[in-house]
Amino acid sequence: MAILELKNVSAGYGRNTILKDFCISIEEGKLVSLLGSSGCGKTTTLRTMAGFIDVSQGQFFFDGQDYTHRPIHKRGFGYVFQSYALFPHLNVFENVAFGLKRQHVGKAEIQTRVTEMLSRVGLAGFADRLPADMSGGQRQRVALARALVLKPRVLLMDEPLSNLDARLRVEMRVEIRRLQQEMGITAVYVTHDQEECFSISDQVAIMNNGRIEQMDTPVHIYSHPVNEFTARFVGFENFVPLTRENGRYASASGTVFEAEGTAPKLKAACRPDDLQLVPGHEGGVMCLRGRIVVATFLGKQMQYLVNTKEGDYLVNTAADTLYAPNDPVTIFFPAEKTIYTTDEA
Amino acid sequence: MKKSRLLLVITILTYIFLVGPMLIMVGTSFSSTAAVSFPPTGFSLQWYEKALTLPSFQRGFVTSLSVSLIGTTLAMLLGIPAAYALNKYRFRGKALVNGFFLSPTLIPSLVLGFALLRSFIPRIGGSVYLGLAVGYTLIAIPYIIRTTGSALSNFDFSIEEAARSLGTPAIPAFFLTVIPNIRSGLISAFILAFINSFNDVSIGVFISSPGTMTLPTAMQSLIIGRLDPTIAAASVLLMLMTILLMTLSEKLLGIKLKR
Repeated sequence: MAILELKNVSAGYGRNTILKDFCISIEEGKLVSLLGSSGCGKTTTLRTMAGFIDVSQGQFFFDGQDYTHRPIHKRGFGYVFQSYALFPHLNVFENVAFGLKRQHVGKAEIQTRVTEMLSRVGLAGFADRLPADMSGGQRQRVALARALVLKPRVLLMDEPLSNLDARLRVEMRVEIRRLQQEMGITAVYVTHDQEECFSISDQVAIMNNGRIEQMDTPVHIYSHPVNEFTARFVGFENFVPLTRENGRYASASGTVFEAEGTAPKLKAACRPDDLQLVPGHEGGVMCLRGRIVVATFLGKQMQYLVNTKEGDYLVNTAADTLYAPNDPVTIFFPAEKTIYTTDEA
Repeated sequence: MKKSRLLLVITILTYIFLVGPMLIMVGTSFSSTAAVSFPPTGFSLQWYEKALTLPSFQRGFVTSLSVSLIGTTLAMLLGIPAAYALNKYRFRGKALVNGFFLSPTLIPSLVLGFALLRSFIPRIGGSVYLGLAVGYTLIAIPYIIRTTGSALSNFDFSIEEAARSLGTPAIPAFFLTVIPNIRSGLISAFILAFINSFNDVSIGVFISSPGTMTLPTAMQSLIIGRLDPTIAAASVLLMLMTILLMTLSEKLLGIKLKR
């Protein structure tokens, strides 16, 4: 059952409406990522759920209750900020105890719960430190502890790892996933990092222009992007425009692609790793003839830019496959690795 | 080398220019004769005694102290929310509002004093005391907004949002997160505005009555009547008070006062 639900919501900053008629539904206990480039509305969605942004139209439900106009402090959602947003004038213990104090929890209980939470995020013994004396990773752990100590049912995270270095990011995302699963929290995670979100999410919503392009499990999105936008997001390149003629789909130069469907136009796409390159000009289904333009050595692989009548395509091959510029080649699109998209994104 | 020697000479001359008059004033205040002369003749503390016991100075001190305190406090109550809104929100006409709040610095306070005397005082039943308090509120607001604003420009408003998300209503969240983090900015805003009001002449000179006048105005009327070292002694005392306020706030609170 959906625990968080935005129904036909419009929201934004002042006159600048970012979400229009926006819908999303998130199931209890799941970690759902909102993925997209800056300005796509992912942070606006998160801030709308938190109550930091007023909804101008539509409704927001939490566990079946209308939370659309519920004040921020009565929502009881944890929120983790990109900038950590720790209280600089309070030490680690006081930071984590902040929410408990507002709930008038007894002193002894605060002591136990804060201490337990700090050891849970690996910060036992840091209680007296000030945020300014800690590293970025430690600060984000404090921020997590501060939100989680209140045992929220929902945890909202706004690019929590983007200020950390690459190695720490991997460590922290595993940590976040572990805590989320241990505590059975529903989490919404905003990021622009494809790898990060695919690795920790139960579901990913790929956003663009204030809309969700596709929302599904990472595995499904990875192999079955629904349109060109999401396809590009998960590493598909090499789009070949196809037109339907005589019940078959063919490219502009006449190559037939084994696509199914009835749409008048389609695009075939394949990842550079999955395309196959053969020397010389071969004919046949799902083959494009062309010439090598640029050869780039990638270490484990060679990458070739191949010019065909349909345009330029990128092909990665084994490092020992050597072609020189201007060599005639044929690109083969393997049927099981080729996807077809319909939109013009 | 030649350049640095020139620089040294200029520095020394500047210091003489700045500090010289003060030294003369301090010297004069210890004079044993009634003539204002430098170097002073003899040594006595009689002018200090006189400055401290003169009824018009005593009353002026109390008036100045209270109207400056009231004015600065009112300016804080108006200026802090204004600075907060100007820093936190983006809205139409923000530059205009900002300019409006800082405009009292553009108007000579002499003009402000005159305007208050002609247009405001008659409308509030001629209360000089209230007129002074309002006048000092007006000249303090730009100080408060600018100093608070620069403290807030370093404040990450997501800290306040964090408090909200942890179950704190809006107003307590402001007092628990914003205020503690701009505390030193607020104190320095208060002290600067207070000193500015306390030492003001141009408003006080218009808004005064025989019973109610600020200390600088009382001093001025003394000079006009008769010039003796009492005025020098009073000035030294005022200077000491200002220095003491600034040092205390720097030493005790660790605040750097900046304009």
